[in-house]
Amino acid sequence: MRILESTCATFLILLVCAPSARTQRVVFDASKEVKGDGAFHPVWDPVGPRLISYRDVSRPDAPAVEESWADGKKLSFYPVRDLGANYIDVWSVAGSPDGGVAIAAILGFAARANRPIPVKSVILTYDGTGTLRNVWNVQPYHPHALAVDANGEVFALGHADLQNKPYPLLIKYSALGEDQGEYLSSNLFSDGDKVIDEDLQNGESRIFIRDNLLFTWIAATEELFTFSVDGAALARTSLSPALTTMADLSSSARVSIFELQPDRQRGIVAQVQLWPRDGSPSQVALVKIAPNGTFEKWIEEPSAAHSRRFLGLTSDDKPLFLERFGRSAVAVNVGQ
Amino acid sequence: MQFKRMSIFVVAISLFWLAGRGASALLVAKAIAPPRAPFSHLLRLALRPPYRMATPHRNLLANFRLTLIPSVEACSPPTCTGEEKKAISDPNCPQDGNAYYCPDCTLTQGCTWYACKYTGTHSYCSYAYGTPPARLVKTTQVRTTAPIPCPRPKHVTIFYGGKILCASWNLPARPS
Repeated sequence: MRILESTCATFLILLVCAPSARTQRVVFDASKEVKGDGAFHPVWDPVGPRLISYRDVSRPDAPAVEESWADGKKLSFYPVRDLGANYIDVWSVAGSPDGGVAIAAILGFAARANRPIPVKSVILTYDGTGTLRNVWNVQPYHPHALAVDANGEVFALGHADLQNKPYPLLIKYSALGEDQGEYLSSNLFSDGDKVIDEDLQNGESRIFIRDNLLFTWIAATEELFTFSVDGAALARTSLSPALTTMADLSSSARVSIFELQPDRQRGIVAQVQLWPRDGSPSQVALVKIAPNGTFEKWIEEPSAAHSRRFLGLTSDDKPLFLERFGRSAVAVNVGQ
Repeated sequence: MQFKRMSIFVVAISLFWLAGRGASALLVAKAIAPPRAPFSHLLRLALRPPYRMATPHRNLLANFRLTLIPSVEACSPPTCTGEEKKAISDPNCPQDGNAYYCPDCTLTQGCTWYACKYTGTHSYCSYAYGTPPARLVKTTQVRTTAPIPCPRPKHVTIFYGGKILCASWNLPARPS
């Protein structure tokens, strides 16, 4: 059964790959990879453009991160092998301008079952040839989300194992690993540093760089912070008004955000889930939110049908979705 | 005589500076290298690093302290925190009642995302990172064993860093 499934998947991938040169389709087939500890998590990087897939691994011959480019190029990154660790838990990956990646991870130096396990909280950078270039031990910080600007400077959003509070949740590192700026103090939030990891409704907090602006989404408070890449705070926008309007328009009890991306007009495109008041099955929609945090329009009306997974926006603001091919392959149609 | 004194002073300062640089480079190498790496490996890493190394949030003193007391993933069952694993519905997953879950964790649909929430009603066990033994601070890398059957034979499903994974590790049994 598995052989049949695998054959079908391969056939489908061949069908998909054949026209990829014309249609700018990025394909990633996980079945060809050495098994890791878990599934790959795909993220879209509009620079390239490329699909970056990451996972946790505990084998030196298993790549933790894979890049798939529109021209069919693939690049693999092996941090467990490169650093002599027993395993890596990848928390976030961001593409860098040279075609490489920055990885926020916890490295473990003993078998997972043998506690206590010595661990290191690190940010790694690889260049566009797959060579490890930087290893920064960022303890006591534990980055949850990364973004890399056009100069190769790395922004990390996370929390820290610090007794002295408040402390900054957002750190800017130079391309050499120096602490170049600390922003977004935890005392901006009533829950302090817990806002980074305590939310069941809107997924995880994350950061994006778009048009030389750094957007920081704090899922717990439903707020979007806008900074210049120099660290100047430009705006703090609550998306709660938009969520309330969406709930009213669709007679929903509540609305959750699954994925969001800033567009060129500094608005937000988000995939949301709507929970009807009458207890009927939830719906999914793609929505445009204005820069001031108010609802602007439905890009895709709420629908109970099984939705596509929204990955992000192209450089000209077209939404991108993950398409499924078999059980272990995905593609993103960049389109022309 | 004065020249001799001056020379000794300059040599002493230079040696002190070199020793400081050397110690700093070794401690940075120690912060990057595997914890039980031999001294020769640290020396090689410090003298001819294959990649750039940095410890941006530490000074020499903090590096030294953390060398003595390293961070570990310290907490494991049966240390219980009263937290429970709560699934987060995902529209990309198959519908199950009023929610959408991917217990099998596929590439295409992703995984069911879980978060730990304090309920106080069950004694599920958690893992935590921290600096032993006094400062055991629970972070988001809270992990609980998951009561979802794993599709792969001889594997167990675990909650791991916000994701459901299949693993062949011999995990401790979840307490009832």
